[in-house]
Amino acid sequence: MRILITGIDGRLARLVGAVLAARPDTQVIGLGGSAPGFDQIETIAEMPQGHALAEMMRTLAPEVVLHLDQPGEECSGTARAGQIQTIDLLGACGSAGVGRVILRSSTHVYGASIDNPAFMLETMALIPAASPGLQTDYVAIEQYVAEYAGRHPGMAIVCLRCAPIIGPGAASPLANYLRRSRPLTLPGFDPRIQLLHPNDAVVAFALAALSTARGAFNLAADELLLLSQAIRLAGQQPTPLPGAAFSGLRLVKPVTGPIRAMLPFDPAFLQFACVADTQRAKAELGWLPQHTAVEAIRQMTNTEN
Amino acid sequence: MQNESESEEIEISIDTTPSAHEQVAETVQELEVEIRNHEVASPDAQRMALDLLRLVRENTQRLSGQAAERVQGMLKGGIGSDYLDPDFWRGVGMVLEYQLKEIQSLIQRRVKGEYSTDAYGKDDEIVELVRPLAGFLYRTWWRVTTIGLEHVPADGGVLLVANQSGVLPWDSAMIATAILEEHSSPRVARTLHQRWMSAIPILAPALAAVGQVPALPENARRLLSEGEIVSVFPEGPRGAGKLFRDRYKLAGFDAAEFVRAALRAEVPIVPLVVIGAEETYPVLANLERVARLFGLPYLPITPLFPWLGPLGLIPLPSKWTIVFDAPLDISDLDAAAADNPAIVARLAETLRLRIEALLKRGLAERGSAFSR
Repeated sequence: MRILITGIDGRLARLVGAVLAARPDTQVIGLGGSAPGFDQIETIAEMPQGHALAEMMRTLAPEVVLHLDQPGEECSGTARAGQIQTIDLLGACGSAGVGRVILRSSTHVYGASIDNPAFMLETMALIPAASPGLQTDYVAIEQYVAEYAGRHPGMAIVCLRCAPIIGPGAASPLANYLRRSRPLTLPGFDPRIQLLHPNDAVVAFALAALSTARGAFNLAADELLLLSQAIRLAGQQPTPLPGAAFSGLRLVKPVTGPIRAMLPFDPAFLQFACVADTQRAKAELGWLPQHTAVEAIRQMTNTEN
Repeated sequence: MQNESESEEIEISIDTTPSAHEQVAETVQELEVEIRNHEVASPDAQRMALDLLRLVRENTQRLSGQAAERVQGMLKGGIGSDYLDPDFWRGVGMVLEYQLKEIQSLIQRRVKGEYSTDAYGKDDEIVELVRPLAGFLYRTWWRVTTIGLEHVPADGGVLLVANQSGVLPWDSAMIATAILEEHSSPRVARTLHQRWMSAIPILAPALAAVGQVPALPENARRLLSEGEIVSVFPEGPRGAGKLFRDRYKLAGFDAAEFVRAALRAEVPIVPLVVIGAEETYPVLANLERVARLFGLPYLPITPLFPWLGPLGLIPLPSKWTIVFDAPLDISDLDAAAADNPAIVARLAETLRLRIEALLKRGLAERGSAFSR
């Protein structure tokens, strides 16, 4: 089986490639970089666009494509470019007759809002947030993917919605936030958060590549943490931002302006929970997270200090 | 031989030395006996004094040995048994304040993030922390009488449907306390609180810590299928902000969503009423326009609030009764009935009528709202 992985520069992509290449019947090709130390992965340095990508896809003729070149996380590039790239990639896979495409998404697609149930299911409608950001980009990509999947029933498309990846070398916005010396919080709020250990993410992508399941799957560690608890486990002190929640006469007001610029992500995620139900991934992919949230944070802080 | 008897003696001496906790319990008991033997000048003050001492004793169990010794010293040194003396009250107040501070320092390790919450954010340490206070409110402040607890099953999911009353959710706290303190198999009931409360700083994480969850049908279904006790107040914000003259009249009662959740999870539905909570904050007027300015669903004006500031939030000590009724008869229905709107509407209406009847009967039976 020939498997193509984009964004091979990223840590996650290399590890997924290594796991899949270890199987006797697979050949793994990495796109868009090199993977020193991972000899079993053939790499192609460039990541062609548009027509060239379709051309290359037809030549390589992979059976499975894993698109791990996700903006805003490990790979550079703007979210807008990521959206165009996903559209390009799906088109190229379609013309090359690729049977299975695995995309990386985020549990951020659900957004953080007061209307969220305690656990989000994959079947819930995705609503883009009022203000553009990472969340709206993820939602736009997923909406396009869902529409494309509806028109191409012959191609099995899987979206793995990952909780923020926390672990050694992780570059998710939440990981960067926990690395700050005094992470800012909204006074009087302490939402529950979820995260994902990089090893568990690797296993999930490998399982998704080899299974026959399709559709969206939530991935997260079993244990939930409170935001303040996560910050403390990372050895930092939560620093409430005075005036962020109480502005003017209103008790609660959306955070805007310079305060917003000081935060690494949408402040709604500091106020409300965005927690996903992982039952589907466990039942249909046979995935079982091996690392707890506490372990993930401990490993990140211990190896990096 | 000699050695053996010596070691035995040492063991015995260890066993007979009361720990600091036991000493406090003993001292409190002595004080209680003395207060009971006092000539009854004011039975109310006497009962209050006894209950406060009980609170001191319960709190002590959570303290370290050292702190318990401190409390013992304070009790011995400063507190006489004359509860009519203002010094008694000041002394008890000091002990309670010290205990609170000690408990705070007990949870200092939480600063390192070393604690755990359940999937909904409930923190058992916090539940245990507020339990003595809730017990005090239950027994002493509102003198709650609970009837029909046998209708709450010992295990498995159950939906409790209640009338909403009071501006702050004390009623749900007392329902939970009744099950925690008086039921033969105590459990922490999960209250579904109104959704807008999640947007209020401090209140939102506090509610989550004691096991409350926003009132969404998805949450109800999930909790019920996980075998939890779920209590709901289907009147919503209109029920909580209603005026004193409208007390015990159901406002916008709609339990259909929750009935559907219970049918789908195949759990019993138990109606219940709380009588007395409407008098805790007699709402004279509801300044909805002003409330909207603050982003709140209602802004009540009571005889004490907002005139006395935060003190106005202290609920009045009315006398409460909680009545659990027999569960609805749904023995002939299965999970598919949840998709039948006619059945759901009929059950929701039955609930409303049952709760109204219970309120009517309960109000007729009680005397003054502030009686003992």
